[in-house]
Amino acid sequence: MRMKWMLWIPVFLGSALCCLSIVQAEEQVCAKTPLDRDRLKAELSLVRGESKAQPGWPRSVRYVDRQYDFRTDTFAEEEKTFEVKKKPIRIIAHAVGVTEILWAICPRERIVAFNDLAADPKFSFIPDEVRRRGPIFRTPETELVLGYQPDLVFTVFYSSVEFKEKLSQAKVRFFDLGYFGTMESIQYQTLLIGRLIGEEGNAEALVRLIDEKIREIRERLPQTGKSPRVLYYDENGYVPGRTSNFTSICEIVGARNVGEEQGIKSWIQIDHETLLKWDPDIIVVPEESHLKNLLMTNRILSHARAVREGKVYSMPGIYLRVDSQYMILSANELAGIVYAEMGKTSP
Amino acid sequence: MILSSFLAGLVLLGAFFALCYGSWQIEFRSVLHVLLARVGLYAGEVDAVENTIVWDGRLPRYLVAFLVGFSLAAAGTIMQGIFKNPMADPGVIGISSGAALGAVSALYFGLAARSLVALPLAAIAFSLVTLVTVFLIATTRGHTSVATLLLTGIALNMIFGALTSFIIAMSTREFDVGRVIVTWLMGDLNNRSWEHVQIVFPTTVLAVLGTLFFVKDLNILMIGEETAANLGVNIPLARNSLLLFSSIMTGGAIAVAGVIGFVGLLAPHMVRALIGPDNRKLVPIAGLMGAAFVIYADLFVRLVVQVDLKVGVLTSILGGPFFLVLIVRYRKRFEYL
Repeated sequence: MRMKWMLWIPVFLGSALCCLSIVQAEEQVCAKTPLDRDRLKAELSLVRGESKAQPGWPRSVRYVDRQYDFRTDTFAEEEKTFEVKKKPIRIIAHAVGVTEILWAICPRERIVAFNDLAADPKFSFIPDEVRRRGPIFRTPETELVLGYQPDLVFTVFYSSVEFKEKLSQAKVRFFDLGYFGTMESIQYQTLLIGRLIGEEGNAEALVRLIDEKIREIRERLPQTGKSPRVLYYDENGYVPGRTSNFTSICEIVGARNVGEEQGIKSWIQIDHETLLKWDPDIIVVPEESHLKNLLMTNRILSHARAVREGKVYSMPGIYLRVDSQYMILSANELAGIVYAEMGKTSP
Repeated sequence: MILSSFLAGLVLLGAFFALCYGSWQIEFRSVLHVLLARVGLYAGEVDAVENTIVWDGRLPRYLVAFLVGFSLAAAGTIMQGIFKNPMADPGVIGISSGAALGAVSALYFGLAARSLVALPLAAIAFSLVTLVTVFLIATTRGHTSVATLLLTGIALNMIFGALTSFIIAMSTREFDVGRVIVTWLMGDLNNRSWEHVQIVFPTTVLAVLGTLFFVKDLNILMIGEETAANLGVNIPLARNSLLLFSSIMTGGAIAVAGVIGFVGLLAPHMVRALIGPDNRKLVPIAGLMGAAFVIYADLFVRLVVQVDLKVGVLTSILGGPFFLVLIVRYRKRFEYL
């Protein structure tokens, strides 16, 4: 009991922690974007179009299965054929990106259930819509998925083997989608999904819309003659490289991903000294990380051009995790940030 | 004397590599100028960028590595002595897992993202709560049982380990948070600054000085409590103080560097095999050995590997096999414990 006084130490430290957590909210940068955010999102969320060639059912869908191996930084490509006996009318997607694509091109009554991540605003661009529509299943709830009696389930490379095995055992058809890391790969997968569900007209229209929006964003960007060097830096010092979607987002807006420029493949952790050496024009950090204030007050980074010139911007993490047509929204945001100081963009 | 001089030289050589090499090319002369200018012995021009990189980047990282290695090794030496158990390490009574739970909680609830010192403070707070809990359970009528201390430590290790796993499981949904937590648990010295030195320096100095005050008693305690009592050692005071200092060192080290394994277990054994069991020499020299181990592990990670290998992982990869070799080679010498 002589040690009772020591109980006050954690109490004191706990109080200190609470005081620390009461910090001023970061100044939110809401840059003017080349295209109107809400209108762009609405356009990308519902697309309808006619296709010239619409084969009947059953159909054989030939496609190139492209999988990325991050260990060797290589793509394995294999030509495959998937047989679809009849038009799928009870569809489930096991990933957010696929759900978002389906939401845009598939009649919504044919999507019979949604993955819970698609209802989470940190991961999904359509959380409210998904919640309103429902039903929602959690990723490990295989039984629930089977209970909805889908006739086609879209899985991805990170869907568990056990989940796929259960689907096989229940004789539920599933299609394993490949690489989603770039705008081109998203467009390819969109067309593939369109063919699999018999909505190729809508899928082609979405791909055309994506190209059109990329063109519009680029047209509205100031022609400076040089590409700004942008670095994405997360709370643990990780930087995305060539195969990340950030490279694709940068390419759309005519910027260069510094991570890619430095030869990074997927993701790598760097220290402040390396960041200073790379000296990007602009640093983008995830908004939820509160990293902006820490970087702006860091002594080493006080010499970095982006910090000196106040070009450290926070962006909601969802824009950096996107792997669907909404990557255009990310590009639109980044364009607003990258060219904010020039004040030449207009909605 | 030879061993301590060798280790001191090794640590200083480590300082040379740590300060002179990195992604930014800085000449040795410029590094010297920066250091001398800071202590007022050089009045010439010093490049501002080099000054910041050396003084605010590389030097604090080196000092944190030194203090963390020293703390863990000294704490391990004390624990092995008190529990008369060669397998005892700084985490044996749950301090490490308590600190880890505190840090992981700070990361998960977003406190760590708001301030550099939030995570270390949370780790230290949790390690102290653990210490108090262990003592409250193990002490009855003024007597603290070593066996109960150990058993309570095992139970708390399990509880805190499970809670940490629970938080990790919840954070897997938050991709970025999950990655930060896993990286921290692997032991990391990336981007350590003077704020981290300010946390681990006082805990190390205070605890080492306190330990040295009781280190003679530790030698006697290792013979047996009855003998110690006959020789006039105040057993509860000595043992509880040593446990407190050991916990402070462990909590401080984990707070700024994450979980760095094997240092607290390996360094005391290595040194004990070379100089014998006298804790008056063992504590500081094992501390130096631990410091050198962490400094060179960090240098290897930072300058040679340059990918996602973390210091804590490397110390375990190197420490495990080396420890096995030591056990085989010095089997007989460990028998006195």
